[in-house]
Amino acid sequence: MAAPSGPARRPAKKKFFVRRKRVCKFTVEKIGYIDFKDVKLLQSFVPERAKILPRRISGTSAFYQRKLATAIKRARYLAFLPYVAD
Amino acid sequence: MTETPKRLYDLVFLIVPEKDEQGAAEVVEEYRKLLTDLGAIIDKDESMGRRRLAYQINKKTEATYHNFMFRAGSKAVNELQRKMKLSENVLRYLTVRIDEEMRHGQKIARRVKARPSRALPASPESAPAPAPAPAAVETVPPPEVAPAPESAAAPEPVPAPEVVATPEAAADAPVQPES
Repeated sequence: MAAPSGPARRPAKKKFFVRRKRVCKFTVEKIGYIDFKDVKLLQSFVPERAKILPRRISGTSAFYQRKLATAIKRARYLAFLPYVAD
Repeated sequence: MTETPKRLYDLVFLIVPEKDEQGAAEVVEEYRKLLTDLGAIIDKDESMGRRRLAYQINKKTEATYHNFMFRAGSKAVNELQRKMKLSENVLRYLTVRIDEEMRHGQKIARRVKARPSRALPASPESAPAPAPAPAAVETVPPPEVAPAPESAAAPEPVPAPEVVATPEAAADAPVQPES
């Protein structure tokens, strides 16, 4: 009697993805100002297609996403980064 | 409110690839001189070297980058930009006023530092999950354990045994009363 009731109550193994908690890189590292000359840093937020990585994926906070976007756009003007990937 | 060179500007400009290292240095020197003549205080003066452009500019695929950070008034910047626009040696230039941005950014960064703890509610799922299982075991076993206390289960009768312990106790109990 005890045996059947036990396992039944136990929550079934969840098949959800265990999504890793995304953290805002800039918040964590306390980067106050995102430099448009820091190509390496910016590149990590510009995937293949040369689009700006959405924060839903990168986990960047809204404040830094805005800063990041301007930094990337400035870098594009100076041909550090492409506008379009060919 | 005249000429307070408090504003910090970050200037990056691209020198035409036709200029070799020395030629590029000359161009840089020209603007360095211009800046100081305009009353600017140069904080940073760094050559970023020759780089491949991410896309073509005026049919050019590479250029020499140079970076100045300086404090100056807006008039100086205007004049500098006008000169660069006219110059054939400069492929592109960008002047950004960064003092306010930096200050604001640092303020935000400091504020973030002030409230670090946010990782506390990490166990809302783990806590309730184990709870139901023990509860189920505790309520059911008592009737099975009850007969045993009469003879052998004297040492630990009251505390509800663990999940594994109960079946054993239950199995032992029936044997001993019979014998």
